[in-house]
Amino acid sequence: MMHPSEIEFMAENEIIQIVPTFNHAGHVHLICGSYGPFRAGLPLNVPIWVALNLRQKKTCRILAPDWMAVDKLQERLEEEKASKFFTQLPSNFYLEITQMLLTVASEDIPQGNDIKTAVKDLWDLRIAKLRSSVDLFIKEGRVQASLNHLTPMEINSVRPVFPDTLDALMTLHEHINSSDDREDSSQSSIATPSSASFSPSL
Amino acid sequence: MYCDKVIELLKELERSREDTIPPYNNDGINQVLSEMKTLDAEIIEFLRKQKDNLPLDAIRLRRAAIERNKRCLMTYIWTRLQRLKEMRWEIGAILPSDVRQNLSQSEIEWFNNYCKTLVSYMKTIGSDTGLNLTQDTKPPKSLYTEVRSLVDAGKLELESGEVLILRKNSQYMLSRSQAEPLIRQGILEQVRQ
Amino acid sequence: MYRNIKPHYFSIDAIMAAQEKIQCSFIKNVEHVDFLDMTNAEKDEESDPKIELPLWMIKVFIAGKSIQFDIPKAYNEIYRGVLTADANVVDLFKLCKHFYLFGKFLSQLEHREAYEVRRTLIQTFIDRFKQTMDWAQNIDDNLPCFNRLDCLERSIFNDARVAQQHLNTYLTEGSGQMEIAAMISNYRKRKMHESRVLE
Repeated sequence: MMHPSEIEFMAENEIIQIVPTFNHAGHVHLICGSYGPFRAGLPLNVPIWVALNLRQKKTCRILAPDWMAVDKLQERLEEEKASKFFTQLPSNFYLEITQMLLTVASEDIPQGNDIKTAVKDLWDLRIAKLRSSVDLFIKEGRVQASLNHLTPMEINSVRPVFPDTLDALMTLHEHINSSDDREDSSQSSIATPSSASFSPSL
Repeated sequence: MYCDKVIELLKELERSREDTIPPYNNDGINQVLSEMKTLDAEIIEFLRKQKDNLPLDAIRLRRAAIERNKRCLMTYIWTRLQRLKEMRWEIGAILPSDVRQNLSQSEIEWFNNYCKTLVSYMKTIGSDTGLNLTQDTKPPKSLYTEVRSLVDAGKLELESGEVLILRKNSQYMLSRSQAEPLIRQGILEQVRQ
Repeated sequence: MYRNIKPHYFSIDAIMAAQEKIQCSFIKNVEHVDFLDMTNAEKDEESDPKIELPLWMIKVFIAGKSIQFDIPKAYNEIYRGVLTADANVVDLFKLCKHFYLFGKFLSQLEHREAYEVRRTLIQTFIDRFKQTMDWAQNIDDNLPCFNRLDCLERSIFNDARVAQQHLNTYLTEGSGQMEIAAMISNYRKRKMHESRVLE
């Protein structure tokens, strides 16, 4: 299982537009790529973590991504409601990006509260869908399913429960027809000490 | 009945919280070991006395009891070591005194060796200084952090060489790497942004 | 700590499940086992002397074809019927602490009802799954619900609970916060509780 903050860390590498308030002619060379030049008033692309750092030092303004607008999110929500399956979202990290931007740069994003509500609605709807698919999967005793367009945070929300549950079910299904195997050792992934005979010198 | 004693030992562990280690039950373990020796001696005795018409059920039962005692004893020790290992990552190399006094001599040795192994492994990561794997287990958001001291903790030598006196309820700006272990130990708390 | 749900050599749950008692009677006389000799002595008075032995011992005697056993109450036809009708209303922990694991081991012994027992285990687990998840994901004080789960369900419940708490904390407080080790804070709570009790 990943911690939500680790997934947020992954989200920080997504690219976003900022408008710097300073000038820096050269490129900044980072492991994730080179960014620049920075010209006051001219928008440019940077990773979110760079944007947040600059914003905290009040040296830039963050431009909300296109999808982060109340009407766009409402459309998504309607589409999600209408579809039996998961719809493809404009960002794989919609929840985390919204949360990060609204925490650090709420003044840069119009209708912040409404956006927050819309994103939360979208998340709740998709999680409810995910849970009922998991329930159905278990109930019908299926062995395989394909779920497209889930985001990492959504997948993480059913971890480690889902694998645990499948493990438990597998344990119950194991050796259903044979009666002579050893009850509880030998099937584990943990190294099992060989049952070497007990020596009286112990 | 056979194995009752060893089940008592495991119940002791089961009853305790997973983040604690109950006192090492040396007496209990010795009793189980001596039960195992008795069972073993009895089997040998059967085999010596009777050449044919062996009491097979009695022998099989003793044999199973020995195996089960062994499995349970190993589980007792294994479970304790798992908890101990977890503590190394959670709170560091210095164990609280009440945990330490519940450990056996070999457990203390094991813990010291585990710490050594971990440290020498961490030294080999990267080029020169190594990498402390127990630090920043969650992605850090900033290099420095504001903390409040929860106790009069006394002197703290900073990475810069400066010495800080930590007083209860006072706030300080510390590097994250220095603050984290103290926060985990409950000496400092992070001031919420 | 990530727990392995599947039973393994060092799993306390698996060991305890094999320790559950089963009622049985001997078809052959077993000599040289002290605690059995005592019951054998009463054999003259009762026609069908039954004794309770842990599952792991039963296995030994079954191998020697010296014993026959009854399916324990929790798995008999009546309870199988109750569980099939509505598994969600049953207090499984009360019925048998290690309902699933003991049931599994039991169904691996030779018995004519073994197959039915195993089918019931699987169906019961599936039927109760949604309820267990709902309880785990609604973070209220649901100790009474937790108490009705068997040990296997409890470990899944606990994992679900921890994951849900991480997510909730993230959604309400964001990330980047460093916190006191759970071990230390629990330890302090216990100390405080102890000193209060002493006063």
